[in-house]
Parts: sequence; C-alpha cells; structure tokens
Amino acid sequence: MLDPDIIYSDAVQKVIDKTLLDLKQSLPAAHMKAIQRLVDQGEFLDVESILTIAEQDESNTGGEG
Amino acid sequence: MSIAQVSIRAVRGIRHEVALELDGKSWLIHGDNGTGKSSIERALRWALLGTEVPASGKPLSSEESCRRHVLEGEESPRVVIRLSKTGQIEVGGDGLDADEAGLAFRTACSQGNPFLRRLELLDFLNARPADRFRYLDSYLDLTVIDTTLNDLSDKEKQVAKRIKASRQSLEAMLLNLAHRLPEQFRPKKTTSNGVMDSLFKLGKHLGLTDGEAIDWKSLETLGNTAQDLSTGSGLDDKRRSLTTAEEAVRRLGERVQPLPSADMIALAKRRQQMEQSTASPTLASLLEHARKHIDLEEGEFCPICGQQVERTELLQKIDTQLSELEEYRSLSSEMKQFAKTWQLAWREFVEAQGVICSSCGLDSLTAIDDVRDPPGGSELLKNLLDSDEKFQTALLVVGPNELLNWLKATTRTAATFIEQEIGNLPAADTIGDVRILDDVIKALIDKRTSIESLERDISLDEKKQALVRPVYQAMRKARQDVAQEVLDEIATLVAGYYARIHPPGEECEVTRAPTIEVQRHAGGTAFVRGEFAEKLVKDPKWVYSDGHLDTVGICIFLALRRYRSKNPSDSKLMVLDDVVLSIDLGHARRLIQLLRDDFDDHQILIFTHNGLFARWCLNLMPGLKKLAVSGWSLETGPHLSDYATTVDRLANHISDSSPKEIAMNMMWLMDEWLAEARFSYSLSVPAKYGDEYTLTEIWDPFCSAMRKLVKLFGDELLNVNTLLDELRDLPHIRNMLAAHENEFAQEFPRNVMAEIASHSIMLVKTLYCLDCHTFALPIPTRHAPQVLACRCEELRYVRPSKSQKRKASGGEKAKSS
Repeated sequence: MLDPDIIYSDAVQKVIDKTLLDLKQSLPAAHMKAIQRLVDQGEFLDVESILTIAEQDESNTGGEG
Repeated sequence: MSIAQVSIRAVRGIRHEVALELDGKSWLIHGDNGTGKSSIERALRWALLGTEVPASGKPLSSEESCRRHVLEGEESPRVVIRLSKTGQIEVGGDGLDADEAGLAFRTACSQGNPFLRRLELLDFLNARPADRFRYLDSYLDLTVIDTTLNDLSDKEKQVAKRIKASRQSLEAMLLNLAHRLPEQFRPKKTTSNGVMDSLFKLGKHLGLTDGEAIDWKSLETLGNTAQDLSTGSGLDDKRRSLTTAEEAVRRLGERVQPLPSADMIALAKRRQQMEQSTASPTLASLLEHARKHIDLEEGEFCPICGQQVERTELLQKIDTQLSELEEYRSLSSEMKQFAKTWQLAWREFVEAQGVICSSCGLDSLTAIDDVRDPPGGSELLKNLLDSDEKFQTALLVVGPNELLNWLKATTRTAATFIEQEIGNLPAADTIGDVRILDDVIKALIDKRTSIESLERDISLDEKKQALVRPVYQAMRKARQDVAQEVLDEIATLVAGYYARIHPPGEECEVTRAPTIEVQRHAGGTAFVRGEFAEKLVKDPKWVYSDGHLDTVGICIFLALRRYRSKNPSDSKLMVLDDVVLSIDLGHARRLIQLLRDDFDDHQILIFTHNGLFARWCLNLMPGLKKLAVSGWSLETGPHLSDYATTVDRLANHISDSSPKEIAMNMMWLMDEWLAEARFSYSLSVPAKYGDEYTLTEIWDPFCSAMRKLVKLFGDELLNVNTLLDELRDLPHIRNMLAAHENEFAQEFPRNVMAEIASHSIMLVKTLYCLDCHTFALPIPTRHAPQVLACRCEELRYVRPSKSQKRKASGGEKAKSS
C-alpha cells in the first residue's frame, strides 16, 4: 500500500486527474465513487485496492445462485 | 541540499585521498588536459549515479579495472560525499553506504541526471527517435504511474487467464453433459444456462414441462417427472393414471348434469311457514273440539262452540288440516331427498378430485388454470361431508345453483386439462429420450455446487476485469497525454535556451532553435528538426556546425534540468565536464550568462581546461569559486589548489624543502596564475599552436603591462616594479627545471630559491585578491585606468592626480637637494 502522505510530482498528479476524468465517463457511478475514495486515501495507485472494489461489489450483489 | 565536501581515493588518476571542500557553492575546476579533472567527475558519477564503477581485478585488463588507480590494491577505491546540513554518501569496495538524506540525494540524482560531459552532447541527436523519447520520458518522474500500469496489466492478464481456465473447466464439465443430449437439443452455448435451456427444450418436446421457468427448482421438478416416467413402467402407469382420472371426470360430469337445480331456499322457506302453522294451538283446539263435537248427536249444541253440531263442516276443516300436514311431510321428504342427492354427488366429486390431483400431480383442482375457488370457499364446503344436517345447512348457505354451476365448469376444465396431459404424454418410443433427460438432469444437479462455484469465480473475475481494464486504458492514455504535454513544455524550453545562446538577430546566425516533435505512436518517438537559412531541416546534424550541435545537446540537458528542478526533492546539482569544447567563446559566454541567470538555484561544478572560458565564468558568475588543478603525477595524482592553498603550501616549502621542491611548487603557482593574468590583463602574447601558453611565453608581456601600470600609479605600485626585477629569472628557472635539472642546484642554492619564491608570493598577493579570487584590474578601462581594484575592493590602488604627482616629485627633489 502506498503512503497517503506522499506528495506526487506534478506529472503524476496530472496523470491521476486525467485518468479520473476519463473514468467518470466509462465507469458506473458506484465504482467511480469507490475509486474517488481510493484517490482521497492515497491508495489509487495500489492495484489490490482497485480490485477490492470489484470484490465488495460481488459481496453486495452476489450470493444468489 | 548541496555537496559540502568530496573525498576521493584510488579512482582513475587519483591515487591518494583528495579532499574537495566545496562548501555547497558552485565551483570552476580548471586545469590542463590530463590533470585529473575528469577523475573527479567520474568519482562523483560513481557516488551519485552508481555508474563508472571502479571494479577489482587485474588493472588495465578491463574498462572497469581501468577506473581504479593502477597503483592501488583491490577494494581501495572510495568516494565519500558529505552534503550540506546533513547527509553522507560513501561508495567503496563494500558497495554503497548512505544515510537517509544521502540516499534521497542520490535518488534525486539518478532520477534527474545532473551530469553532462562533452562526449554525451551528441548522444541525444545520435539516438533513434524511440530511444530519444525514452530518454526524455525518463525525466518525467512517472515511475509510480508506470509501476501501476505494469501492475494493472499483469493483474488483467492474470484475471483473464483465470477466467479462461475457469471457463475451460466449466465448459469441459458441461460439454460432457451436453453431448449426451440428442443432437438437435445440444446447447449452442456451453454455459449452465445454455445446458438448462436445452434440457427444458427437450422436456417441452417430450411434453414434460411448459419450459417457461428455467431455474434449478424447475429443473429438479422436471427431473422428478422424467425419473417417474423413465423408471420401470412409469410412462404406462402415468398413462393409466390419467385415463382413470379422465374416467372419473367423465362420471362426475354425468353425475353432475342431472343434479336438481330447484330453488332449495324457496322450499325451505315454505316448510318453515308450515312448521309454524302446524305447531300453532289452532290444530290442537281443532282436534279437541272435533272429539267433543263428534261425541254429540247431530243437531245438539256443542258445549265448546255452543253451536248446533254440524259434522260435515267440521270434517271439512279436519280434511283441510290433514291435507296441509300431508304437504309438509312431502316437502320435508323432498328436501331430504334433494340434500341426499347432492351429498352423494359431492362425495363423488371429492373422490374424483383426489384421483385427478394424484394423477396430474396437483395439490387441488384450483391449481389448474381457469379453475376458481368453489362458491362459499373451500372451508365451508368441507362441512358438506360431516353430516346430513350440516350438509343441508351448508348447501342452503352456498346455494345449490351456484354450486352446480361451479361443479359443471370445474368438471369441464378438469376434463380439458386431463385431455391435454394425456396428449402431452411422451410417445412410447421416446422413452429413451426421457431417460437421457433424467440422467443428464441428475448429473447436472450433482455438479451444481462445482458449476455454481466456477460461475461465481468467473463472475467475480469478470467484474475485476471490467474494473481493471478501463482503469488501465484511462491511465495509459492519461500518461501519454501528460508525457506529450510535459515534453512539449521541455521542447519549448530547449528552443528558448538555444535562442539565448544563438540569438536569432545575430548577423551570422543562420541556424534557428531546434524543435523536438514528440509523437505517441508505438512506445513514443521524439524527432529533432532544425532550421537553417529559414528552411526546415529534417536532421540538424546535416547542416549544423559541431558547435551548434553541442549547443543543442547542452540546451536539452539544461531544459531537462530546469524541468526536474521543479521537483522539491531534486538535487539542484549540475556537473558540466568540458562541454564547451566545440563552442566558440562568444557563444560560450552566453551560455555562462544563461547559467548565471536561470540556474542560480543550482550548485554548478564546471570542469574546463579552457583558460578564457574559465576566466569568463569567474567574471560573469558572481560567487563562483575556483579550484585549480595545476598538475598531475602517477604517484601523487592531481595537484589541486586554489591560489590561497598553493600560496600557503609554497610558504611551507620555503621554510624546510629543497630548492627543487620550492621551485616546483612556485611554478605550479606562477604557471596557473600567469595564465589567468594573461586573460585578466588582456596581454598580447605571440601566437602559439594549441593556445597552450606557459609562464615562459607570458612573463615578458606581463612585465611590460605591469611596468606601464606602475608608471601610471606611481608609489601605489612601486613594489611591483621591484618584485618584477627580483623575479626576472622565473622563465629561466622554469626551463632549468624542465630540461637542465643537474645545473639547477648549482645555479639556485636554497637561500636564492627561497627568496625568489617569497617574491612570487608577494607579487601574487599584490595583484590578486585571495578573498574574492579576482585580479586587481584597471578601472574604468585598460587604456585610461583610474583605479586598480579587485571585485571586493580589498585590493585598491588609486592612480595619483597630476598635482599629487608633481607634489610628490617636488618633495623628492627638495629632499635630494
């Protein structure tokens, strides 16, 4: 997990901002909200954290079968 | 953070430990070729970048082993860098040892290379466009993004691989089942839903289901049906059962059809009225009256009514009453019969219902579509079977007409239903398909847990993929956009710096600033275009001079440095090693101005052998300190000194060294000092190939220029005249040292040599400020000087006015007379 206190360089911050802008148009609102939370916590660049969103989504909607 | 001190040992030309007190300042390291300047630069690279590593092994056998001083043993190379404030970096035979601040500084250097040497200037232009892009891109500090992109890509591949494996397992499992089905019912998609859909289609084809609900529960029901039919004579039993039900319904229809549909409620009301009339006192009194009346003779008077006995009339009354009683009895019997008929019919209905439900697998007839609940509700009709009384009461409540209508409708619907059920029964020759259906459903239900587990895994992985893929694609695109944006910014900086060194307005400037075109196809490419005589040039190397090309290389380096320096953790260090070799001094001067104006936040270490360039660096960059490398030997390595150190060292030698040692140290001082004086005082020296002047060539023009100044400044510089006289043998001493060593000792005994060395020190101290490292120069001009002063004015000689001169000369005359 990345340190949320890390201050990224301008270029990294720009890449993150542009990525979020793009994702807003392609991801469902619930996922986008979860992604934004990761950004706020400084965990957006941690891939495992991103995968957790899909797992939580599964536990919320899954179970039937 | 900057470099405060560097200590180097056994690296290339440096044998014994050399310590440089850089004090966090910018320095000019000036010395001739082969004096060890580059050894210092290489040592810094080793410590800060981890490149140019001196390896152990047989000296000179490989490039790495050549980086060690050839006279040192193994493990001996070492560089220690101390940073201002805190921080230390040490590299040696044991590898790297650095504290936190040291490591941070080293990381900053690795991320934003602060080193530039002559040989690297054309690297960028000579590189392939893709390599150029990678080089530029490496400066953007997007490592964390690249790592994330790699992670996302790896993760997506892993997930895709897992999905593929799960799908293959699921498909293998389902294919095995699907292949057992008749060909026309094999699923197009080998998913559990596909297989289930096929099973229901087959079930529908065999008439075992309507096939509308496709889920595991319905599949289980279909499986049970198929099992019932396929086990032993199940199909025949079913057919028989349904035929029985059909027969029961037929009989029921016959039974129901003639059921009395009279208004039983009206009958009941009439009987009730009669009950009241028969139960009234009229009948009893009538009978008493009749008995007494009959006892009397015809014509007597009755004691009851007092009337003459009329037997005929009385008999008529009795007959009337008796006929009413007869009617009541008849009504009661009719109602009883009515109720009995219905009761029997209802019992038959209930029995028939049992047969139908059992045959068709129904809980009740109301499970059949279009069969409504019976009138009065199921609960009320239960009472119909309890007793005659209750049945009659319930029948009166429900109403026989309504019940009859319901029974007729239900019987019709049930008959149609059973007819359909019989029609849907599989033909006898399809029993094989029923068995297959039964087997496949059983197998599918057995594997349900595994199938659902695999499907859950696939579903979760697909969700992960659906999330990771857009994030990867969005981040990749954003990274490309940002790289393009930043590299365009850097390209603009390069063009700006180039224009500062080669201003477009200059008469002989036919080249224009190069443009860097970044294109993002494939991994990214960077093309460098030039402009020559107002025409675009695809490759600057075709037309730009070596000097112009070097300038392009320098500008790219400076632009990248400027970009990196925006990062708070940047090293803000710049090490330039002989980068102006091909650049004429006019343009080099603009480069110095550019460094001064735009990079005053950097610690700059400039290595050069070019005396004039060094001079201009010192003049144009305030605060730049100078370190002279005055010589080198295999045993001792480079002779590093600024004038203050060299002067101190020479002073020490004067007291206890041999004449030759004194002379050698004096020459190190005077060679360097006079070379610098040549530029500072703009001395005219005879042309010489290679521009490599020594004291021998400079001494006479120097003396001539100084004597002219002495004339102008009089008493202020009088001792200079004396010192020049005392030092007249300097060129001779230099020649003796170089070529006539044996005669040297005879000609210059120790006391003579010590005296000459002392005079050398005095001359240096008179004309050169050891504090601000500048000469006392004529101000305002060389031709009409009014003052001779160093930059800090510690040395300041004022030219006397004519009246002062006259006064001085008058005083002299008076004294002499």
